[in-house]
Amino acid sequence: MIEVHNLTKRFASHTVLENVTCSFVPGKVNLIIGASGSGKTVLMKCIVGLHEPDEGRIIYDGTDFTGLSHKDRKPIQQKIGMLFQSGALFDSMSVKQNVMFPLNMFSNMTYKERVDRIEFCLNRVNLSNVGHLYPAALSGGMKKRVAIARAIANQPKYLFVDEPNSGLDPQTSLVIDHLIKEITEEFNIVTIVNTHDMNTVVESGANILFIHKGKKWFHGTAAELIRSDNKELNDFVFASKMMRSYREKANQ
Amino acid sequence: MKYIFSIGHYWIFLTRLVQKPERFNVYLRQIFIEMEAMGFGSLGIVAVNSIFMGAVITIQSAYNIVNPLVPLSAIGVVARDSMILEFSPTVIMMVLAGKIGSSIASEIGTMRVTEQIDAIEIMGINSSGFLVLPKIIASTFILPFVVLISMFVGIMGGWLAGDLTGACPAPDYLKGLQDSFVPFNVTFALIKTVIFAFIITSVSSYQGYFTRGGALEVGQASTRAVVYSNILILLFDYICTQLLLV
Repeated sequence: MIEVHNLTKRFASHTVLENVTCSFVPGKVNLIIGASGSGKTVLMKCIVGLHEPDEGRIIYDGTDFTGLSHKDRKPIQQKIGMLFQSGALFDSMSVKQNVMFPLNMFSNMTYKERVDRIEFCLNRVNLSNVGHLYPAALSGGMKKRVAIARAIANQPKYLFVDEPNSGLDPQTSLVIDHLIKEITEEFNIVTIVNTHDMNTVVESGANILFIHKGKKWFHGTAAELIRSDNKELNDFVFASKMMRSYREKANQ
Repeated sequence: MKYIFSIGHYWIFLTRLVQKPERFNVYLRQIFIEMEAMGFGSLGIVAVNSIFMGAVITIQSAYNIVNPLVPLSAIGVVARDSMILEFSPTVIMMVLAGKIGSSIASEIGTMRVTEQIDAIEIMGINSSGFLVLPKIIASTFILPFVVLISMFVGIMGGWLAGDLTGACPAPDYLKGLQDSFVPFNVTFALIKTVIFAFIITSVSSYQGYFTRGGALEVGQASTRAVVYSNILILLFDYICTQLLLV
């Protein structure tokens, strides 16, 4: 479980996150939703340690991450897998080398075991035949799936996913959403997905945090979200005709 | 003020490089990959530059020596010492600052703007150490060999040009090469090369590592890497000469 207590982050005099408190549970897809510029990416970067919060604490399974030195953070960071918006695959490495990278750096597996593990991970994301290709030769959806394979290679306890569907067609987005949900349930990991794609909310959202202007506006389940009378939340989630009709059907 | 900040920032960046590697064998493999790219990858441009520099030095020296009392073998001495003392370690390293420095800055800069460096950091890896340290070690080890090859090829270029044009016949040129040779000059050149190699890789990595923005900023970082490397090479060329030769 990951807990965030009273987190505040400022850039110069601009407060991007203000007093955010929330928790993320294992085995379910935890969503952070909000409009562009609302502070959700900063929140995720604070949780993984790429930004230092100005105030507040981040607790990983009882360990205060914010209180640790960079050196002491390493054992926790080695249990983190992250899928970036762009995939962030290493251009100079093939798909296999990308997936093997965290294993080369941290695991004590033999070469044969590492090869077996990357085959398992690539099979798991349905990409068993692209191991020899380089990222430049992959489509957007394939890059995201390779990034998922790399993120799960070292058997993480925490999976962070930043805008998994940006730049993808609806069908591929659905594949990625299902994959993230399956992996989360299969390995019982804490998955936090940062999105403003409402299809993801409908498809996989179990524990949803809505950030608006840097503040926590809503935190609850998908069912609670549908019934919520919070104006800002409703304006954001049910902005499209499709989502409004979805709410009407759900309420019937 | 900005320059003082940059010097301090650069120094902090360098201190972060020297941390215990997460996996020594992965770093070692990176060093060999970088050595191949910097060493073998630079041989073509180094050879072409060196052969023409050697040729031009020879012909220009011949053109300037009009006093019949000065023997033609002096052309060999001039070509040898010019290549060893200045052209190979300094000019060739400035050429390499353009080739290797811009490549490093754009590679690391692109990794920064496409979040590849963040991906490394999140795994708990010292990204600056992993990306930069192998490049510095590789360059300081392999570039002295490249400069030695440049010296040899440049002197051969002078020999060819002198003999083919008749400006300095081969026997005179070869005699000049052996006249009053100071072995320390080669040592001096190699010391300079190691310092310049460190400057090129560390300055270019620093420029790339702290790139912010997109493609435009990567290009600007690459340009800054070459400009600052060249200025520092010239500055340290003067300092080394003052300290070691005078």
